Amino acid sequence: MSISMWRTGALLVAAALVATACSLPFAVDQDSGEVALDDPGDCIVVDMAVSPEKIDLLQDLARTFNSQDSSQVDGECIFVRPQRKSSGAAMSLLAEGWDEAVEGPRPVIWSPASSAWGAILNQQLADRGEPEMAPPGTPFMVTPLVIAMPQPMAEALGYPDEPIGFADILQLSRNREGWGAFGHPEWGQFRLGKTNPNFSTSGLSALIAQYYAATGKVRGLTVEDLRSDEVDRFARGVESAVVHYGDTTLSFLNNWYRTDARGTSLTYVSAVAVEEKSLIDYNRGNPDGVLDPGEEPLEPKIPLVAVYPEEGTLFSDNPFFVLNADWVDEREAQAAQLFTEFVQQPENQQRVLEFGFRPGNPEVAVGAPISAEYGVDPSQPQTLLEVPQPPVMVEALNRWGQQRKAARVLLVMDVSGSMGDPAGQGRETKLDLAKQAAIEALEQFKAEDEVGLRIFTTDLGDNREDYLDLVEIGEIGQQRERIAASIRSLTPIAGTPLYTVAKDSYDDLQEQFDSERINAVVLLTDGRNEDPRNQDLDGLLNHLRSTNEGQATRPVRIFPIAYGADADLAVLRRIAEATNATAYDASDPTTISKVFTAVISNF
Amino acid sequence: MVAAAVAIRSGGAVGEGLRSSDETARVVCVTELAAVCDALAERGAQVTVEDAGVTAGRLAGPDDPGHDAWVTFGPWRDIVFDARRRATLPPLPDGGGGVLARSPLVMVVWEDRATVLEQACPRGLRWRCIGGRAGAAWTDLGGPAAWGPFKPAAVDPTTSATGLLVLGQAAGDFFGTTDFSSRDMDDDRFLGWLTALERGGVALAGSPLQRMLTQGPAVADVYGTTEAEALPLLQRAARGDQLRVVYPEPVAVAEVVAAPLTADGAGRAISIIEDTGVTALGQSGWRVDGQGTVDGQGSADAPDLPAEPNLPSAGVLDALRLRVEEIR
Repeated sequence: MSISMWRTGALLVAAALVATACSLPFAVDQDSGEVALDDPGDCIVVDMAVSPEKIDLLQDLARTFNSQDSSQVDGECIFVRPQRKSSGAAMSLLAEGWDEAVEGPRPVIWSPASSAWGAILNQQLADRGEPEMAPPGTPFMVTPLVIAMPQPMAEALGYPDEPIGFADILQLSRNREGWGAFGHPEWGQFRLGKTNPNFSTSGLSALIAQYYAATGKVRGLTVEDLRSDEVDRFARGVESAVVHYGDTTLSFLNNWYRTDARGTSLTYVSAVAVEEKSLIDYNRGNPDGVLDPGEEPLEPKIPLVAVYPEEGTLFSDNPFFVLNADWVDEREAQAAQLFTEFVQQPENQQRVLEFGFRPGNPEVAVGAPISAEYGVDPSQPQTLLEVPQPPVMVEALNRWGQQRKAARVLLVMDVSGSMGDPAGQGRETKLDLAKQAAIEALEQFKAEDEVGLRIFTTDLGDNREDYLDLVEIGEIGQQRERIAASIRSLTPIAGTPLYTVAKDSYDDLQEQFDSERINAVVLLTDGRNEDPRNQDLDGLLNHLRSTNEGQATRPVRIFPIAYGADADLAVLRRIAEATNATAYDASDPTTISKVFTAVISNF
Repeated sequence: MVAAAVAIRSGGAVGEGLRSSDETARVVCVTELAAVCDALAERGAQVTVEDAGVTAGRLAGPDDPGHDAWVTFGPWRDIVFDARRRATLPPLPDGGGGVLARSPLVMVVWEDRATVLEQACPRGLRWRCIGGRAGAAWTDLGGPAAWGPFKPAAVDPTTSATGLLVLGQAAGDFFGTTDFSSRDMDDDRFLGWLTALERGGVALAGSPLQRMLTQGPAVADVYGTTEAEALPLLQRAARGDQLRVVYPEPVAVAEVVAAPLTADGAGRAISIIEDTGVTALGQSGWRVDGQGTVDGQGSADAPDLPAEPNLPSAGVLDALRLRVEEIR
């Protein structure tokens, strides 16, 4: 997978745009008295692109800042407007071109999770002879990358007395006995959760840490290091233990939390590379870090503990880059600077702690919840890894594209009659957009991945089947164009036998299970089950769960895509969760290309 | 990682220099002295803040300097003078007055690390001992395994004003004198020591001490800098009491100067620097006009400062810089 594909990697997630303010020239909600963050009135607007894990915090701070009389440049009020953008996606958009109609306003301040993204952006621009866009940034708050493990598993490895690192993970992943070698055969094989480094800062940091561990270095990682056979073997060894990837660590944490409630968390995944902040959220009973109205946090039965890798780790430093871009004028830059200084004030840095981050202002002491009570150690880490030079990071990402665990994926596409409905205002149907997105997504698989294509609708073919395999699963390097041609030829037909196709596709993959690969079904559907012969959702879910849990399972994940407003997202979410996967929401058909990209990031 | 931080506080483009005007002083400050340029900008000066190595590289060439004066550390001005002489370029204007402010070079060490290092370095926490142990496992120095490798740090000596002075002080301690020549650097023992320091140590960018205070000893165990950077930050920091400020022997001093760069505008620029910039220096931790310690609150361990910087000559410092680049 190359860097250039990042431009398609953005995830659109609507920001919760509510603000508090008083007597200001922008809209105030009559009931709550809160100011909408999307209505700046006549103020100088400072748009921000913010990595998802800190969007709530930044919106809180923006509300406070916007409401202050002192937030002015030459007498003009300032309106800071954060929007959520994952770090890798924002980097791609800044490098390749930010379409405001699709992505929202271009940022004056960009705050990815790590400065490394700024360095990669500048490198990509420099490679094209363009000036740097991300100047040295001011760290807002910090959080180290840790290896999160369920406490009993970490203790089985000697935690907290014995240091644990990526070398131990490699050993574990190579050990055929799995956890049996540590007296716990009931936990099955060692299973690792890692996010896709093209999208996720945790994934990028884990990748860098993994390469350092392979070389025994803590700084000065070189392109030559990455190209050595030994490093390649180390990397492939670690990747072989991966259950699946994904664009965000929240998928793992949510699944972990749900399996914890069912008492099966120890066989879902053994360790996940996450930011310390996310682990604290999990142990507080809030695995996604966001408490919806009425949601009460409930601590997990088995807490996670933070393993600070013995070889060293990296901090996410959450810089504020006031961009050197042609769309940023001097007043906006001045206003951005004022907000940058505002968030550094000690009272605002105290808020950082509340959210589980460590303060970026040294005047504010690290305190709760950065404590043993929540599974973390404020005196750690003891060794820091140097962020490699940008060309090394680019090489690392390119090599990961080849070293990552191969996938075996069945694409299951709904061709029911409703897929012929218009996708929006234009002439294109939902099926037209889905076909286009699926064909684009094929490019994200590496040649060794095995991919097949199945379509489903009622009354297919002469025998009135519910589904039809257009292309059998095989190496995509050999049949990419064949699959694409089959997708192009799809036409809408009849009803939606959702449960039948979900079960049979799952069973087929289980039957052909390949332990060297990520085994998964990608199930795109625009409707709800319309098959009078099979309406047994509970039966389906029980079947999926019973064959997915336990130490001897052959885990096959179903990643459903709820496509269009009529798709049954609630049911699809339950199907995904029954296989410890994630459902994706493309209820707005125009987002299908991005959603497909996010889904394929799991492989 | 090499830092080449550049910030223009008021118009212009660094590569081209700032446009001359009859009215406005154009001043470039080294990154460590950004507070001076900020104060000058408030008085209407056009200012640029960038690493010393960036300015020195530009001034060593034939192009218009682009600024009227350079607020820097003494040796960096002299490095540029030497470079222009070697390149048979016209000399930069003389003058600029004397030293504006001074600050001794210090080591900032985590207290728990300092206690262990005192055993490993029985003659005291000096750079000769520290440098020779860079990159060693803490277990070899008597510390716990969890501390990993021993990591002395400074800002990059090839580009940063402070980093080069810290390296000069360290090399002076190795030789036992500041009066050594670039030929002495061919000594195998010195090269081995410098290589260990360079490869086992950490060249940091940005605000290393701030990073140490927010990210802890993972960043560095020992950090060489100026008292002016260290004391104000430590006094404000929540974990400032976990760090010890050491004045390593032989005591060396960073001296701030204002180097004139143009014949026409330098007088106006130097005047505003002496008027406004010196006040800013005093307020940001520098010793000005015989002031004993920072705001009267300096470390109780602060020694009396020598009358001279007590550093190798500018030529030798420049040769050190090149030697470090070769080692890399």
